[in-house]
Amino acid sequence: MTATIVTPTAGRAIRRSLFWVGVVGVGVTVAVLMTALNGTVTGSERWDTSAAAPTGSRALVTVLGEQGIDVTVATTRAAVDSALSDARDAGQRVTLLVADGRGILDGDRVAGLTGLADRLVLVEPGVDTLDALDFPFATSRTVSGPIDSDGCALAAATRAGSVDGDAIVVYDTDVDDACFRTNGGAAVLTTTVDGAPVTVLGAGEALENGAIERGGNAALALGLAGEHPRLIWYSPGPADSDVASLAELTPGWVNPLAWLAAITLLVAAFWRGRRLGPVVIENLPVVVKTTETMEGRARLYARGGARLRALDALRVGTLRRIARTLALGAGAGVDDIITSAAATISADERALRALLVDTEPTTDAELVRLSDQLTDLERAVARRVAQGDDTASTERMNA
Amino acid sequence: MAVTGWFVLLVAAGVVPVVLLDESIGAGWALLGWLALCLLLALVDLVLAASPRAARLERSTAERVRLTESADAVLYVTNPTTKRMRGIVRDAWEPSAGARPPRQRLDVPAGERRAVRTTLTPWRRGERRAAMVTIRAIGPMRLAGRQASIQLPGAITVLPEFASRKHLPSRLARLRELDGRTSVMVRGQGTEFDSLREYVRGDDVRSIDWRATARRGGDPGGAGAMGPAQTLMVRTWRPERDRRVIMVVDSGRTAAARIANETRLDTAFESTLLLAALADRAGDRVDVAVYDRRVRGRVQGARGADLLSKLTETMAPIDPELLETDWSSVPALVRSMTAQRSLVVLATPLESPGATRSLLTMLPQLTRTHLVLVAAVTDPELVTAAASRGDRPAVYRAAAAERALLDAERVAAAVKRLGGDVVSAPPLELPPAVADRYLAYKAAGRL
Repeated sequence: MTATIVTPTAGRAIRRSLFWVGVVGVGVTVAVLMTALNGTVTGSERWDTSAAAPTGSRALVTVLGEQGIDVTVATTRAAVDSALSDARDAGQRVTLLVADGRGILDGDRVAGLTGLADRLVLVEPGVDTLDALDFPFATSRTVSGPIDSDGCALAAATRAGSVDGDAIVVYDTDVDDACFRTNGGAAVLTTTVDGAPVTVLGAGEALENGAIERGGNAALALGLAGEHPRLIWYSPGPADSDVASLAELTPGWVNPLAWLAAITLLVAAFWRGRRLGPVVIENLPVVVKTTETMEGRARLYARGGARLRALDALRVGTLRRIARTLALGAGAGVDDIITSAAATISADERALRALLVDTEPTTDAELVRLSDQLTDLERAVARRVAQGDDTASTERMNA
Repeated sequence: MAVTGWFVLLVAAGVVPVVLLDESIGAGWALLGWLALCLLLALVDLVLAASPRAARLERSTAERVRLTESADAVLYVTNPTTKRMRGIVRDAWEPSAGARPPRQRLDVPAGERRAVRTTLTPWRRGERRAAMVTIRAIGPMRLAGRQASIQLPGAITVLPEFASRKHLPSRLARLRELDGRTSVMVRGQGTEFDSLREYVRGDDVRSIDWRATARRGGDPGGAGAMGPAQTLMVRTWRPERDRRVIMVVDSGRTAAARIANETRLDTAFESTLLLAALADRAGDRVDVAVYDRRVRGRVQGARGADLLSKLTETMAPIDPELLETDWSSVPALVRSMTAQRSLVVLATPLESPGATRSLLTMLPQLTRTHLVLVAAVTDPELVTAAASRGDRPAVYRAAAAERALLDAERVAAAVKRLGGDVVSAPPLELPPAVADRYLAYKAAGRL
């Protein structure tokens, strides 16, 4: 006898699941490709040079590249330094643009960048940054554009004519070569620190994909960033931060331990989930409760408000039981039963007839009341008959 | 392929190297290394485990068991490999076979055979089957195992419980009381002459057989002057034997209904078994047919112990069919079993006039020649429901229950009008009630 083995061999199981493994593989590949083609996912930070999102700056960087500007994107201070030395070796003039979308750099670090390049452009710097640079300004606030250039020393600003945006940061200052003045504030300030010009660009929106086409934004952005043949676009990363991140504070084994816990959980799930062979199927017979028809009929009575019909059923039951108690026999009619019941418990025959035949209940409360009266009647008759038997037997015994 | 709890613990124990080796090689590498080690150990364990596919299996199961009793199902596992087969085995019976324990330890040394004993306590009548055997062989390190399910059919026949057999001794005692009673008590149609014996005080004087007394008194010892030397002889009678009892059990859709956790069909089987056992002891011939639209089971011409075993075996696999019983061909069925007058017991519910119309139409054909008894199960819940009148829904329920009781009573009355007799009782009381009615017939000589 050759036994039939139900469990597939390892090879067969793998072959059988190959299709689904393939489906999942294709799905993952497609997802990865889509992500790669569409750039980073939405919600990227501002002035991300690789992001096509409205807040990214891919458009500007691409156009600058097409115009022959040598653009280097640096995310660390070390990268900035090496790019600067490259440019110095090549004898190129350099613009250093600091687009700190995440607010990582503190004032001292920004101050350390002055004097390195031929122009330093700070995009929407924070108050403490400007304080560290000893910028002559009072406060900053946010206004919406457009703002005209009003003629100033900065050639790019003059060429642009106006800057537009929904949230332009303006600095209240009395510096002379401030551009785009409005209500005593200016969106672009230029000053000289360590022998090199430093431009503060309050209209950071001018660099973004979403707003670069508005007003003179494009001209301003291209003019500022493309002033020199080489542009170093510095978007500081976590490495340049002075604040220790959570990852630096925790020991190195925490992440692997989390992974280990997850894997242990998976293995435990496989351990408990692997069943000992398939379930055995059994055909069970139909189970019908006999009371179902009774219950169904009761619900029909209740829903249809068939009070008289329900009461009549109860009455017939009571009559049958009384007839049996009084030993009236199967041939006894309703009148006979009522007469003998009335005689037995010495009650009014008309009242009994009303209860057992005539009264029509109009409300459910009345129905319940009548049903209780029927039960009481049955009990009274039964008690009376039992008493009568007792008396009869006592009399017999006495006789 | 399966892993054990030890393997899970082994993986979890990776905490130690991951933390300790963080300084030297880095926690990530320690984790990867540990997982690789675990995997390697599991693979080695898998390779070292005996192959459950190679196991040779044999079954030895009790052939039949009475419902609510237990039987052993033994499984012999032979290990023809050169490795020790250790792990878990599951003998996969149907759920209602009540196999305990569901899984057991297995340890078969190379080339040897071991028995795995499973106790079956079925909770459903019929044929209970086993589908397969699943073996999970664990490796020597107890980390991982190989698993295979091997088809190995097995079956056990679960006979009806015959719980009513506890009523049998008392009914047999009553039967013996019927035997040998003096003629006046039972004399009449359906009794026959049994024997002559000497008169004892208390015997009915009318049963004295003077002719026999005279014959006996012919000897000379009786000539003495004092006292009655003459011995009086009386005749004794016993109920007639070799009557026929035919039982027709309805297995149609109404038999599927469940009352007090027992289907009507099971109650009918219980009644049939008790009555068959009793009638067989009383010397009558018992024939049984289970019928809905066709004969589902039939036992004819069996006597003694053979009768009961044949009955239980015939009844065991029968479940109610969800179709209307065809009563019109029952007279022909009864005719095919006997032509002489007999007691015909129909085990079927008497519920509503509509559902029993075909039964009532057929009944006169049977009552013309036979004594017909309808054994019907009543639902005690109906009586309870009719008596409880607490609130509005309860009153409507009571009304519906009264209605159902009235219907049943009307049907019973109709059966009686057509010449049949009715026994109705709740499930547990029906078998003894049917037996009592049979004894009453016997005592009255109506068979």
